[in-house]
Amino acid sequence: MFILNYQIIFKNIVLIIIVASCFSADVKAQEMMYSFDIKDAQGSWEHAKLDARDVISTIKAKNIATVYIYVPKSGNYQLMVSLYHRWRKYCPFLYFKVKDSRGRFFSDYIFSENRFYMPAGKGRWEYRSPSASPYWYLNEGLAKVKFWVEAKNNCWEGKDVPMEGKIFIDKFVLISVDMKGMVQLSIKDENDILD
Amino acid sequence: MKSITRREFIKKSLGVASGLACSQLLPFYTTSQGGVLSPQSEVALVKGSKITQITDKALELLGGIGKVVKPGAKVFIKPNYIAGGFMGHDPVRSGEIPHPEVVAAVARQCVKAGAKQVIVGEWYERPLKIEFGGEKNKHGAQIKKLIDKINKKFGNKVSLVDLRKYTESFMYVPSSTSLQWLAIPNLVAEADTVISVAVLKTHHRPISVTFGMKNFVGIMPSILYGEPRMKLHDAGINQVILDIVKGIKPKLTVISGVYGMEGEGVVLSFGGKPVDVASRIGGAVVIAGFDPVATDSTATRLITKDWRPQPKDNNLGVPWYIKHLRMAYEQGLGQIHSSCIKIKGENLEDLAMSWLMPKKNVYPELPNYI
Repeated sequence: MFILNYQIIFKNIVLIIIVASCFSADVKAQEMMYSFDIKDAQGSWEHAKLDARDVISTIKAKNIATVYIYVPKSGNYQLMVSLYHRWRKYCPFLYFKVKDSRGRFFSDYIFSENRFYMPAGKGRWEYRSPSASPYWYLNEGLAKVKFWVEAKNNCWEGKDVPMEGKIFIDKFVLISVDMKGMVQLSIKDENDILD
Repeated sequence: MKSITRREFIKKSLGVASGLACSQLLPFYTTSQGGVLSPQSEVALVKGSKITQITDKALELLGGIGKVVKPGAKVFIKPNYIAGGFMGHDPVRSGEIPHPEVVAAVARQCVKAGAKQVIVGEWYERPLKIEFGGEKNKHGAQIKKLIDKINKKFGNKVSLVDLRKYTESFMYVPSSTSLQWLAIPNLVAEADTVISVAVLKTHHRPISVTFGMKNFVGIMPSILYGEPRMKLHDAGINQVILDIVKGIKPKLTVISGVYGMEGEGVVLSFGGKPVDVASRIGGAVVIAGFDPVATDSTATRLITKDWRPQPKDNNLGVPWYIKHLRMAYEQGLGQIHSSCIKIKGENLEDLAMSWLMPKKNVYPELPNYI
């Protein structure tokens, strides 16, 4: 009996630590929009600063990174990733594998268009969602998000090519989808260079 | 009792039979568009040199824009401005975008019909040079200048909107593709009347013509579907186009045929070739209709005169071989049968013109496709 209680106490302490670390990773609830900074990401992506933002980056294809995001309430969500790159020729494709607190599993990809329209060396921030088919049902609790990048010749043919440059990510955002009215909020980067 | 001749009897019988055939083929469309359409869809085709005038004339031939724009209405106009001028060229003369005078004429008509608010909007990701306004006459797309004039005269009712910047939420509409639901920007979903203003052009992939219905892909949020919207393509772009149309129910389609693009459109960089329509048929054309499928089918017939081989069934014609048009017809969104489309204004056969096919994207469904 004592051993069982000890295990429960230990598990609860671990859970509290994980949840607390997620909230310290800046969870902002704003009209059912939850933002998660990337600074606690694990894996072999590099931690750095870009445009005064804490980011992780990689120049290596299939380099895996992992983040834990706390889903505040079970429901339907769009997962958004805020990313940046300066590729002018090729398109980065980001692949995601997500497992929620109850083992529900999702995998999908997103891509970002090459910046052919921008001066060399210039990039821009943008949001992209891997969960738009049409949204993901995530259970309350910690969800594990595993992701990596691959380079493709363009956005439609998908032939493998070498990485053209670094990819940067500064945060993930969860946006709830209101099933009653079938509505979700829109989001855009406040410093998007196109604006 | 009035007697009729044998000729009159045959004529009337054919008319009734044709009407019944058309109405049976339009189960969805006739019931969902608030009675605007008759089973026999009407499409206006007007040729001339004064662009605003021929646009106004086309709308007048349909019975006026008041049929679909009621006083106090919120109108959303979607011009096909998503791709154009990337290489610093004039996107109007290249035929990549509809002529700004056509867009402005439609907006003006909406305001005159009593619209409370008219949004001319597009979701675009790239910093288009045109910016809906043109760069000091350099790029030719002076829509902003024209809109300013309308606002000066009628009060500030028309606004140019980049949906990427101003969308606050998405409303979902059902899709029969793997996507299940499609996210529509609130400014479009909340409009009382949605209007498509497209341009005559062919497409290098994956659909061979891009007119009024395909134009709506440009309202779809790139943050969800990518830029270009490959997630929509992956799900099956033909059905996605139709699901968008079913969701937003456009009430009017206007196609600008001042300049157009042939061959490997939709932009110069893909290999598309600009066409000055007047150099082919002696004037610019505007095509307009309340039935989006019939309007797109008419535009298709206008530019596929020399597309070989010609389909055997002239009543269905090339539109039958354009997958999204055929599917739209089969799903009851509108008409493609030439016998069920009444052309008002010019004679379609007189204006039908040569137009380069997109070589890499000729429909495999075309008979004898190589």
